Amino acid sequence: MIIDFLKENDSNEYFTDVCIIGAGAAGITIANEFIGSSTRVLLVESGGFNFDLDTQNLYDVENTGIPRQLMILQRLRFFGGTTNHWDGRCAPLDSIDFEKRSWIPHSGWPISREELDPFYKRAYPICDLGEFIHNEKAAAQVSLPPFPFDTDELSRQTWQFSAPTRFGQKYKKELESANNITVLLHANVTELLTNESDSHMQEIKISSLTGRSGKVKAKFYILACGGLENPRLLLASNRFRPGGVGNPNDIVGRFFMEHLRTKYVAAPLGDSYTLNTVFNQYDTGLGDFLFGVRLSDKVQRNMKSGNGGVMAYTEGGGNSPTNTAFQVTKKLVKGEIPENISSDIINVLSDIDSIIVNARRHMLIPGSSPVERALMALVVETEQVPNPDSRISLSDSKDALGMPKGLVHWKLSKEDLQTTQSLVETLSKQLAANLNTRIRMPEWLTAEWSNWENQFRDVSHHMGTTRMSDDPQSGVVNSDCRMHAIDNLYIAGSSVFTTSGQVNPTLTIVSLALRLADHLKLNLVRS
Amino acid sequence: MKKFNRFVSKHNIISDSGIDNTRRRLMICSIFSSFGFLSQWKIAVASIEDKNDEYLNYIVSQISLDHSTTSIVNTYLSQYPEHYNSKHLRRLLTSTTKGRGLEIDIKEKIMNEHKQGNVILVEGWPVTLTEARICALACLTQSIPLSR
Repeated sequence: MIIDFLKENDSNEYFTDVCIIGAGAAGITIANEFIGSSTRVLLVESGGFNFDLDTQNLYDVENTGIPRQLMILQRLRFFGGTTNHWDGRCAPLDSIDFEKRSWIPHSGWPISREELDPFYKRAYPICDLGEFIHNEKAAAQVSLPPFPFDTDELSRQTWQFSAPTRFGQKYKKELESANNITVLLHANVTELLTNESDSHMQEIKISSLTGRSGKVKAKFYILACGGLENPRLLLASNRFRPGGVGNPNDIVGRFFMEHLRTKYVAAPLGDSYTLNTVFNQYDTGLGDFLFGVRLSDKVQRNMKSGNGGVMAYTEGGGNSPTNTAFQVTKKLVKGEIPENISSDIINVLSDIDSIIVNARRHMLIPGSSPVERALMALVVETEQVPNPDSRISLSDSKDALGMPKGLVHWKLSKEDLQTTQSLVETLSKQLAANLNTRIRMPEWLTAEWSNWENQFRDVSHHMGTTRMSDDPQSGVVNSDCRMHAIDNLYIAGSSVFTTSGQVNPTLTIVSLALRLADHLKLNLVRS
Repeated sequence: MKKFNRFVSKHNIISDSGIDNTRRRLMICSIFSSFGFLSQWKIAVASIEDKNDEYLNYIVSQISLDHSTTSIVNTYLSQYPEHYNSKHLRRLLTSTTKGRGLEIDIKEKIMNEHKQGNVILVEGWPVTLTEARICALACLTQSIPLSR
């Protein structure tokens, strides 16, 4: 059932078994898991089914840390959440990401990769990812030549592309037709209310942008609003306690992490064919794969570095003659006429030689992208070391609902620079020695630069602000994603990540959401 | 492919790199292309020493003496000023051939130097010590003015 809080007149109070706050990848996944059960689920969403500027403006934040991309549009505040504009690049975290690593401060999840594997497997079809196969198996699937690098130094990294699945569009009908699920649209949660001892959630306050207000009472609550909004909501519920709810140890909002992106130019000096196969995208029957490399576990241990991955894209994208020829051919094969056929033909004729060369390469590995690589752009993404001073807190200014805006203070550590240095240095050596390819090292990476932090770009992955730990002194939620301080409040999403790893977070968000749903089902049976 | 194009245009990967492509191509081609080409070269002479000398002379003659080369040499000599001597550079380049011939030896040296990180950075590009020595020898042999 779907209710619009702006239009519904019957009631301002809702009673349910499970209240999920936020209809993004995590919230929708959990709600889906309860379809057909006897559990009543209320999925509370701030937006409607489409983008709305006034609602989106509620995501406005202030930034006092390292300059970031325009944050207000990094997330989307309507049904489906940020999956409404994600790229769909997915991979599971690596085993080493879960380990307690002595050289990475505050590392170590209370769960292992092996414990999460069954949930990764279940998350694949939810994200339309094809089969759960990775790295060398995936490489064999597309008949890649042997990995050309020393595997003690670099490992193969495989990402799989989702459609990308828009969770709101894909799962709307199922949720709408489920008897035990209610989706409440245009309802903004403005306050979480706990009992006197701050150990049990009692209700949440909701309000619309038109001034209507109400409340929800549930047995269990799940916060699934993302890495910035989850801590903001907890911190802003501070009417009775200055630190907000469930925050006796002042950890909520701390350890804000991102993936750190930098870019490099690589010049293949000899035959670039092997290089093209190592870094490429392949659309196969079993999935849409992107291959790259990551820093091996051995190097991470030896160089005391974090995790990091590398992918490459060519100059051959966009409107290049090769790409135009490829797109035109694809359309013609499908029986479609390209929109700008005359300009496309002129473009194709302008460099017929390179098109023939690239077509030959493309045919050598069926399913691969056409390539034309005089130079390559390498994209490096590394994990950010958990840092308690990198944090989300509350601003003095308020949003349209009267809630304090989020205040972002993104801060990096020296270890973050070292991770990128280790990765680029290792990659440079391996590329030069094995594939006769050189990478241009920027000066900030090789010399002492005071403003090295500004060389990193964020990639809209907000993690760690309600981190998972078995110790209440160092984490907000336990291994079940339940808040240490509150017995019926759970958190879903990337805010529970203890460390960030080097891969995009959505697949892990969905996997953790499935795990939480299983846990809640068991708990509900017990209760 | 659409995703790839979207990614490239979204993140502006190429245009954002801040490096002029033509300049970069020229620099790279002028410095390194000779090494790949040289691997095909066959020299027929009597002794291994003569062979090595001839091969080295050939390599040196192939180096384009432009701005990129002098940049490499100036960077190298600023770190190894005692190598400002063509005889010394010749010795360094031919000392470890173990009778295998300089062609194989130089290729192997360059690969190992990359693996071991024995490189200098010239405008950010890694150049191995052997490559830099060949460039230095070329400049010294042809009396190209260098900064010392």
